[in-house]
Amino acid sequence: MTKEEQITAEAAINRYADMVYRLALAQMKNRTDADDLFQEVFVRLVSHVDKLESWEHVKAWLIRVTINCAKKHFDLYWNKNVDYIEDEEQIRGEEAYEPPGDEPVRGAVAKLPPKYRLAVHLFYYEELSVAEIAEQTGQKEGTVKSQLHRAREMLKQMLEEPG
Amino acid sequence: MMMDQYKEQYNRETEQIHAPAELIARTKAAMREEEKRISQMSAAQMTEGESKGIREDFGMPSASAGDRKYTKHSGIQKWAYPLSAAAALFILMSVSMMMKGINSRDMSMSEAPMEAAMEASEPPVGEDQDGGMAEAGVVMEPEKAVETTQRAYADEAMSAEADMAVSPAAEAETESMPGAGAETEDGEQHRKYSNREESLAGEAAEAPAEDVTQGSTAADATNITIEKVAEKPDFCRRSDVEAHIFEGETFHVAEEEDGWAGYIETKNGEKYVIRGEAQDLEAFLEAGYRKLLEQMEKDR
Repeated sequence: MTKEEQITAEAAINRYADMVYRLALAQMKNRTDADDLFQEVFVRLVSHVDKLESWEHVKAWLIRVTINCAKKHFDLYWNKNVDYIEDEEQIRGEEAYEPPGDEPVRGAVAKLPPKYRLAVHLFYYEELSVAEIAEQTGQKEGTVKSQLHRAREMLKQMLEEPG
Repeated sequence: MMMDQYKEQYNRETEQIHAPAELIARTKAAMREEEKRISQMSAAQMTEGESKGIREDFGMPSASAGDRKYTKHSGIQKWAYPLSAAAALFILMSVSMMMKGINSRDMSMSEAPMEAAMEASEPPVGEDQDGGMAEAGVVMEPEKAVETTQRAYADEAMSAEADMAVSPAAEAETESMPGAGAETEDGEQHRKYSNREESLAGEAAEAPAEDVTQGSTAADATNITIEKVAEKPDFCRRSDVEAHIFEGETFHVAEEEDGWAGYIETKNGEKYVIRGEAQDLEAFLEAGYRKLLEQMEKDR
């Protein structure tokens, strides 16, 4: 076991860049917004890193801030103007992220509603418990369980559909 | 389980995703700019703190704003502590002085009423004792009934505390000035019942008479004789004859050498003369009235 690395902002981005990016992408479903979210999270970390006492603390902080910033991003996304919603081409344009064809499960997860998508990613990939997910997202445990249950049903339906 | 299969596949697919290097570089640059901005803010606050005499011990550049605020705050407290301590001491001393002054005033004020109460309490006690003794004397010592009765009348004229037997006498005495209800052993002083209303006079005469009879016996009035007469006797024309109402009957009484003489004219028109010896007028009237009743029974 290597000597524990000193907790700094630069060391944190080296350690958790992929984690934050994957989480940002799972929520935003759009590379441009995911990139903006990624950058915003780590810039915020600069002013808060001194208060974080361990790497587990850093990880939990990054997940929480990513979720909160994504929520804010999403609210702004909908509140900006209606025109963007009406522009289907822009929605399906180059900036939109779609998993490649060899990623069927990720493709199915990407089609889930945002809250279901987040619960699935945190539960199955980040391996957080229901209680931890509830704490991070500010929801009740029962709500998280329900989201996971619904997500599983939808995924099963999507993945087992013929063709 | 099926979901386990999907879970594993989801994880494999997700692990293929990495943060672009260009994004990481861009983000690190932004982070450095943020650090610079924070350090510049810290330096500016340090400069302000130095100008105000705050100590420069800020530690790491990444010290939070909260610490700087704390340092600034501690500078203000430097002079506030001794000032507040002096103010508290001054207030305590003032309060203690005030309390001492109040206490001394209370002590002097409380003594006077207590002394006055003590002085006021003594006379009533003495008076009660005298009154009580007077009453006891009337009841317990029949031989000195006259003396004690006279003393009792004198005391009751002065004090408002009189028992039922003597209170009417006190009322009578207050209304009639002379004598104050006091009667001498020789009966030289007579109550002037004729100057008052008949009801009050009767009560006054009755009460002391009752008191006397309580303590006196038949020996107080002796040789009481009664005689039915046709007309008023001669002694009724004397100047020293006084009218006394006793039990509703008017007695015209005069003192003689060997006793008392009284003339009664009943409502029936019958006239009687009563003679006899008695300690005092009341005893004579009592005995005479008893004799009158006996005689009136006989005459029926």
